[in-house]
Amino acid sequence: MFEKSLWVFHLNSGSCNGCDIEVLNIFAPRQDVERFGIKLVGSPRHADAIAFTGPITRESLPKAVEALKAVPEPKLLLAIGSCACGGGIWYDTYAVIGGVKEFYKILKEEYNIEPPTTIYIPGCPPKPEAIIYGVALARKAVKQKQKKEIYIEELNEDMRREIAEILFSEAKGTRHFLPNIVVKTKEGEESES
Amino acid sequence: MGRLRLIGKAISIGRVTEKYPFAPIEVPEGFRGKPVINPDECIGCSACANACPPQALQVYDDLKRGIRVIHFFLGRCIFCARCQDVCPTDAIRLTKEFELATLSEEDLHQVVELQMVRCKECGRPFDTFRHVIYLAKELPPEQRTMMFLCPECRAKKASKIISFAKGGGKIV
Repeated sequence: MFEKSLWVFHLNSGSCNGCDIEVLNIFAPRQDVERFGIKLVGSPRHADAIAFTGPITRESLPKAVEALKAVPEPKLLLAIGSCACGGGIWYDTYAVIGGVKEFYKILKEEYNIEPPTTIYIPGCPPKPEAIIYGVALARKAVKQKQKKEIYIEELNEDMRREIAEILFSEAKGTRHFLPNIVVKTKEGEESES
Repeated sequence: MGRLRLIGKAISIGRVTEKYPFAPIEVPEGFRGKPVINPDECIGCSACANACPPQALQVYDDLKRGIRVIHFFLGRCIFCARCQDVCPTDAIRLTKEFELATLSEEDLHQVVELQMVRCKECGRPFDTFRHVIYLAKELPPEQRTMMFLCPECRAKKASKIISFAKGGGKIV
């Protein structure tokens, strides 16, 4: 879908300028991405992809929606930086929507727009190479490395008993181990250890 | 004349552009990349969750299943390495991995689930097994007697022992 030249409209949606500088870096001679035909354009109407940098502040929300509407189909959204991916350090602040996930919810509920294909590029800010990798992922030039990992500890009842025995058998061997104490009250006997 | 000199300079410097997506690059020493939890080392003490500024690391207890969940969401991480500094067992480390782009948000999560100890008296899960064993290694053996009690039950029991020592009870 995006195998040829990708024209990108760069939208600062409340970023701290860190990611913006990294985006500008990839057009410098060291990571010259114009060799892949990637180019920054001045209007979303000319763009194939829109790059969001920032957690989408309330002030920038209507502008972001307008810009996203103006990009012709098929479109691609690059969420650059941790702020755009999940809200970053401002994920629960009052002035901030909190990443593209919340942005898509608002899009569906209030504007009735289907969310476009999204590339999440986490990093604070992401390395210029990380952004290039993200764009290469959109073109299917590289394989996705990041995967969801779930680890579930397995501990059956016998192991639990063993652990308890190890802990307490050591304690019982020592001189300072408290012996069982029986306390007498008016109601009856209560055995205490 | 000036232009010729410029061409000569450009030729002498040579090519500066990296061949990045087709050839790997090296990252500098001390680069802060993707944090990874080593699930075999983690004890579930939640020190990292306390230190994490954007709460990308969250620790919560599932009391029904008796499981402590350490949930790491990479999409919110700011790569400050505070979790690495506070981790007592060096379970969480910042690797040099920077190629983290994904097509779906689901892939940005790492979940570690650890079994919890149930209190001997009230049966409420209160701490992970690994954390209890970690603490037991620090304590002398005679102080391990109340390790399997939840904090509330432990307070009750300790107060009973103290009141007994002050003459509240009688030895039969």
